Amino acid sequence: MVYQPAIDIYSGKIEEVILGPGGNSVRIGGEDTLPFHSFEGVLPNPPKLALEICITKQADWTEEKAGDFSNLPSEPADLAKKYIEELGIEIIALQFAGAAISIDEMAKRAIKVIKAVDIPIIIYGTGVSEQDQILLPQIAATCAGKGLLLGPAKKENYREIAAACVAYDQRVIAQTPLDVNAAKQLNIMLIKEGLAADQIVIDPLSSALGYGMEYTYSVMERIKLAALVHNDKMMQMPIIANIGAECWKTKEAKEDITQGVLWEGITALCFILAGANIVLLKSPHTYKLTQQILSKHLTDVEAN
Amino acid sequence: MPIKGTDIQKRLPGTNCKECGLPTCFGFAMKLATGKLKPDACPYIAQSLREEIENLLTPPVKLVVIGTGEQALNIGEEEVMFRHEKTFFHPPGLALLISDTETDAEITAKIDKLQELQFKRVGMELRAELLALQSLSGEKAKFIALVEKVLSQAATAGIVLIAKQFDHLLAAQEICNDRKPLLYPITAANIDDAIAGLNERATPIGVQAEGIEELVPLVEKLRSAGFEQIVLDPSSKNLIEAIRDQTLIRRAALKKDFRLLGFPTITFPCFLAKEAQEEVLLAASLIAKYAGIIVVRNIKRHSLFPLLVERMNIYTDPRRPMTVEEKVYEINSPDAAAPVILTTNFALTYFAVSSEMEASKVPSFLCIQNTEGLCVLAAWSTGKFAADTIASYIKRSGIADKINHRNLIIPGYVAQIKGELEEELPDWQIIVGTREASGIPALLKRQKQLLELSGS
Ligand code: SF4
Repeated sequence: MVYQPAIDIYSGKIEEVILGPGGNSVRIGGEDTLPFHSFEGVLPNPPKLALEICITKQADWTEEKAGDFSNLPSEPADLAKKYIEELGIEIIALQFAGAAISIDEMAKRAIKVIKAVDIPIIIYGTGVSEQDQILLPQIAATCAGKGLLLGPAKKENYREIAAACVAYDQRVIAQTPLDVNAAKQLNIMLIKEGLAADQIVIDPLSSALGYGMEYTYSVMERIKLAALVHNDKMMQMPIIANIGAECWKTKEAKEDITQGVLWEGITALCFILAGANIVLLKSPHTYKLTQQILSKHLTDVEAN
Repeated sequence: MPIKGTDIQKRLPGTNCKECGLPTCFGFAMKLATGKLKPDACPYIAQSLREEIENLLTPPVKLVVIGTGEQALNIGEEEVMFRHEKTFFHPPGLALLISDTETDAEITAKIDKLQELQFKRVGMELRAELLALQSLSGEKAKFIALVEKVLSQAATAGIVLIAKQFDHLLAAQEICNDRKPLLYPITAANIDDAIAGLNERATPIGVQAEGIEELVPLVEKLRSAGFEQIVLDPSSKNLIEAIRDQTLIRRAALKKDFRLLGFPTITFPCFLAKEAQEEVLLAASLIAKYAGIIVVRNIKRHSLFPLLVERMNIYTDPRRPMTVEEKVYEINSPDAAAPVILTTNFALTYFAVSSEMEASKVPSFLCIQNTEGLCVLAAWSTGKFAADTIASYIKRSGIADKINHRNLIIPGYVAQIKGELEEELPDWQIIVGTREASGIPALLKRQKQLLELSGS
């Protein structure tokens, strides 16, 4: 028997989405093959990690002997700078979930951070549709041209958020609950609102390891296969995985911080292998560890 | 079976000589098509037809068994590239590496660790199942001593024997043959010794070469010598190569019907990683990406447990809902005054609710009703979680005997059944809980105060 490697060539290609302002922009997506299949296709942009910063209070997991990151500045902008300096992070994710302050105050704080740093910023709203449809357009308008990635836009509030992203040239996170068809539908509706395909990032909703991770994993794989194998244009947007909060609310992470870092790291890596182009992490430790895996073990030497 | 009896019949001699035990070739063809008889029962069958049928009858990735009895590790028999296409069948074995250069105390500690670190989750037993014993000292006696120690101290663990020197492998195999160990590596350099020295062709062997192309001729040689329990190692240098190699091996077997690569694989994060955490993430990636055996150097509770949970998640059958057992779960050692929460047996609901209850530190009871794995809303809309079924569950659950009050918290999503449920359970006061699990700690604290007030 003569061995011939079974190489697949895919008809589809993932959109390349550019995040952030001119000089410091970051590109995600753009690949014409499955994750890390550089033996049969081209992946111009490795998966990216973003580190989240809570807009109201800083992550409380650092209370428990978190090593170098135990005394984090409470001011989000200062924390952002610290992360940039010490970890070299390329993308920041501002998180609003559970923030018990007014929408105006949320917007004010977010804008302060956006003005203070010049790397790409993700604005992950409260998740409450009625709040986000006011908050996100406000930020989008004030920070025109910053190439922000805003969301989550859901089927309930996508119109308002899409309109703001079109008007002020921002990007949008399209969130649907673990459903390949719903993800496609929302993309179609966003395109109808005037967004370009390279302004959209798919959020299929992420569950943590042990809490339904495999559902997200398979939805991501199915989206990537639809995009690449079936050349489905409405599935070709890059995928985002927002896992920090999900992982750190598990009892396994809360009871042991080292276990928590691995819990978050394994969740991140699984989604990256399933097709996530950008992953939002909560712990700087996980960030360091996962980034190390990406650069040391998952970078194609020949391609560079 | 994707071959029709009538198609087989056309390719049989058609002499109806009855030597196969059936009156006609047609009858024999039908038995072949349903897998009831083997092709060699007909002495006149064409070689090509026989191979075709044999291939159809054997799974594209061969089952390899390491170890014996209930604890034996089964790997292989995978049928898909992506879990949603059907399911992944046999979870990869996790092996802990021990070398003969380690001290006696270190070796003992590792063996103990492997046996001690066992977990229960969703009614499943989770553990690492293999010890990988490596001859590193170069002294055969030391390696044998390690194997003997493991034989006496780890009565059930599966064994992988790793030695560059083939005579070490052979000597070690001799003393633990009844444990059915995996011998590794068989390479171009020792393959002739292996074929000559291993009398038992059923011995599981790990074949190693530099890349898939180099692996193929070795497998071919071993197969023609009668070996079938083969595990492949294409010597991937890093994770990106491992993803490529694991993908191409499985693709060759599944998509190209290339039988020489139709075997499970063995991978070595232990040799690729410098640090313990790095090793965990490499192992995690290989669990998702088709590895059959994963050898690691470190196991700690906090690293093994997440890996085992990941393995369970990835190998969960996506066609079946995840469920937990119907029963009353006691959380934080409740007493008779503890609050009671009711929900469905969908595993994700159970995890979300129970972990919030635990985090609240409030001693409480969690009543899990069998809704065949449906979540609250789906179970309610199909009548599996409606007033009548809940009432009959509460009565048979025995929760009433454990508590001195009659307050029952139901999920916020089924607030509408409160009235009906109170009619079905007249002694009980029904409290509508939160929609999201995150609201549970606050709710439990309020309930606890209320119950204490009414109790005093
Ligand atoms: S032995 Fe072969 S040739 Fe003879 S009857 Fe059976 S199938 Fe036909």
